[in-house]
Formats: sequence, structure tokens, C-alpha cells
Amino acid sequence: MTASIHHKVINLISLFTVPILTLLDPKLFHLYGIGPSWAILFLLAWAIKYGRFSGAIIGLCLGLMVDEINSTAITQIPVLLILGWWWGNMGKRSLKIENIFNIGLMSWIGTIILGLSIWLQTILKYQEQELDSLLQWGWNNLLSQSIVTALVAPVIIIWLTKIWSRR
Amino acid sequence: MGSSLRFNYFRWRYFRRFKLILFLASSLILIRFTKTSIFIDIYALLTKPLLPGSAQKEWISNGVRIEQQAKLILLEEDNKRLRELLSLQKSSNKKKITAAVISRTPSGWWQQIIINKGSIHGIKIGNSVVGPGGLLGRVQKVTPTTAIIQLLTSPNSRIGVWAPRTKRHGLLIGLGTNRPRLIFFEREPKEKPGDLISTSPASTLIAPNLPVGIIQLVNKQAMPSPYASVQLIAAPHAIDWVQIKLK
Repeated sequence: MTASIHHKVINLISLFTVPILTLLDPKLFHLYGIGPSWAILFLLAWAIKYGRFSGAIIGLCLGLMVDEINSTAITQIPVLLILGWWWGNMGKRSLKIENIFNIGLMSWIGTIILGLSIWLQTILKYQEQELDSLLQWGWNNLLSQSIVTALVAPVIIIWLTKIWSRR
Repeated sequence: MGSSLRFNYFRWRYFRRFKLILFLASSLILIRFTKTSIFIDIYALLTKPLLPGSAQKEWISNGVRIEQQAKLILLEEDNKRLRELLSLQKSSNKKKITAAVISRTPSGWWQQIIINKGSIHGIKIGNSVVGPGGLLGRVQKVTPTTAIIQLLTSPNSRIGVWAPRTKRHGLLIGLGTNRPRLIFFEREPKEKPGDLISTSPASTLIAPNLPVGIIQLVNKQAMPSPYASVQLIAAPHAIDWVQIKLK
């Protein structure tokens, strides 16, 4: 029992790589100048492994971490929280989302929802007059980030869940 | 018969002794008749390494640079004096801080760069940040040792700018793409593609008289108000060091 708590603490510490990766923004994973959403990748891995309640809390934590390093008042917390709950539910019902295609699809849908929420908040908060002017920016970010996240997801999430379960 | 053969043979040998000289003469004649000044070309080719080519160019460009720097210093002094006369905000005696860029995301949802100097170095929210080429953006968030800078291309960036040629104000709005949009306050803008855009000389929010960008396109038929696309001079994709102008 103590050993499993100890492992969970170590796994929690590994979540702090999310802000570091977001800050580093490695060019290796760039698609059209935009990197994947690391918060989505770690959240999906965590929610699959530890269930809905833990997934929602980690979604909140990841949202707080990611919001801290962004300049604007736009928040990613609600979407990450809901996604953590949803994916945790799927993992608990053992819907076999641990297979490569499902992981890719889930991370793709998650990134799309996250991107849409950021886009909507930007429009509501900053650019009320000129909605058309943000179309190109929004579509470009939404599509490239979701595609690159879905491509990276199977590799990283399977690797992460293996590392976490090995301990 | 035999003697005549022998005679011919001797005659050929006689010419053969002057083979080189004859070749030279014939080629000279050829050059003379074709009027090609091949000697000058060969001379130029041979003396190329001896001529003061690139070094001299460097001296001249060095001289020009020093002259321009001297002129700039003189103009800045002049500007400072005139600003004091007009009691405007002083641009030249402001403190500048140089900082390194530790993280940059010039495209994507957040168009920002993060630098390694923060509130303990005196940086405050709203300070202007200058890169090589001109204004990059403004400080949006400050922590004790870092600061997040919102780039001018970011969709939530909007600053007042100034067109020095027409002496008019405009609003520069980031669209998330590489070229922010300049919105004019007048019904019929006189700005043309190629005009420089800078920060206003009387500005108090942003450091005055900083180059921002160049107008690429003017759309006078746009419905709510006419606008222009502006190409920024400073490129955030390749900047490692920035300067922060303190107030």
C-alpha cells in the first residue's frame, strides 16, 4: 500500500514535465509552426490509468500549470477538467481505449474541444468587432495542433502508461 | 627528284625552329584583327588577388557605419533637447534592460516570448520590448525573475501607432497571422504601401519613436473602417536577445 502511494507520488512529479515541454516547445514535433498540446497528452494517459475522479483533479492541476505560463486571461481549466472526467469514465468502463487508434482519436477530439474553447474565449474577450479577421488564425491553430497531437499521442501515451505501471 | 625532296625537308626544319615565335606572332595578329583586348582581361585576372578588393569595401562600409552612428548620436542629442523644450516624454535617457529569450512561441494560440528578467530587475507590466529591427511587443505578465511578452501579432494585442510620413494615428491590431492590421481613424487614408509605421512621438504608454513595421497593402473599400496590412520589422522567430525600455 505504501509502495503504491510512493509510486503515485513519483508519477505525479512526472506531470511537471508538462509546463517544461510547453515552454521548450521542441521543434521536432512542430506541424506548420505549432506543437502538440502536452497537457492533453498527459491528461489522457493519466485518466486512462487512474479513473475519472483522479483524471478530473489532474485536469484541474494541468490547467492551472498551463494557464500560469500564458500571458492572457484565457483559461484552459474547465475543458481539461471535463475531458479528464470523460476519459476517466471511459477507462473505468474498460471501453478498450488503450488501443492505438482510439487513443489517437480521443486526443484529436480533446485537442479540438480545447482549441475551440480558446478560440471562443479570445473572440469574446478581445476581438468582438472583427470576427472574420480571426478565422485564419483559429482554423490554422485548431487543425495543426489537433493533427500533431493525434499523431504523437499513441507513442507518448503508451510509453507513459507503461512507465507508470512498471513501478 | 631526290635533291628536291631533300630541299623541302630542309625548308620545313628551318621553319620548325621558329615554331613558337610564329605561333605567338600569328596569335598576336589574330588578336589585333579581332580587336579583342585580351591583355587587359588577363591582367585583371592575374592581379585580382593583389588588388584591394574586399578589404577596401570593408573599410568604406566601416566608415559609412561610423558616420551613421555619429549622425545618430547627434540626432538623438538634438531630439532630447527638443523634447525637453516641448516637455514631452524623454525617450533617450530612459533606462534599458537587455534580457535573453528563454521560451518562444511566435505562432499558435499564444503568441508570446518569455525573457529571463523580471520584477526584481524593475520590469513592469506594459513596458515596451524592442528587438533588432523595432518594437516586438509589450510586457503582459511579470514574475520575480521572468516576464511574458505579448507579441504584436497576438490577437489580443492592440497598440496605437503613428505614420511619420502622413503624420496620422492608427490602431495596430494583432490577428494571429504574421501581418497585423492597421486600422485608420480617417475615412480616406493617405497612407501608401511602403510607408513606415512607428510608435507615436508623443506616446506615454509605449516608448515613443520606435519603428514598428511597413505597410504592405491598403484596403480603402473595407466596410467599417479602411485598414492596412503591416509587415513587422522585428522577427520574433529568430530573436535571442531583447531590450526592455523601462518607464
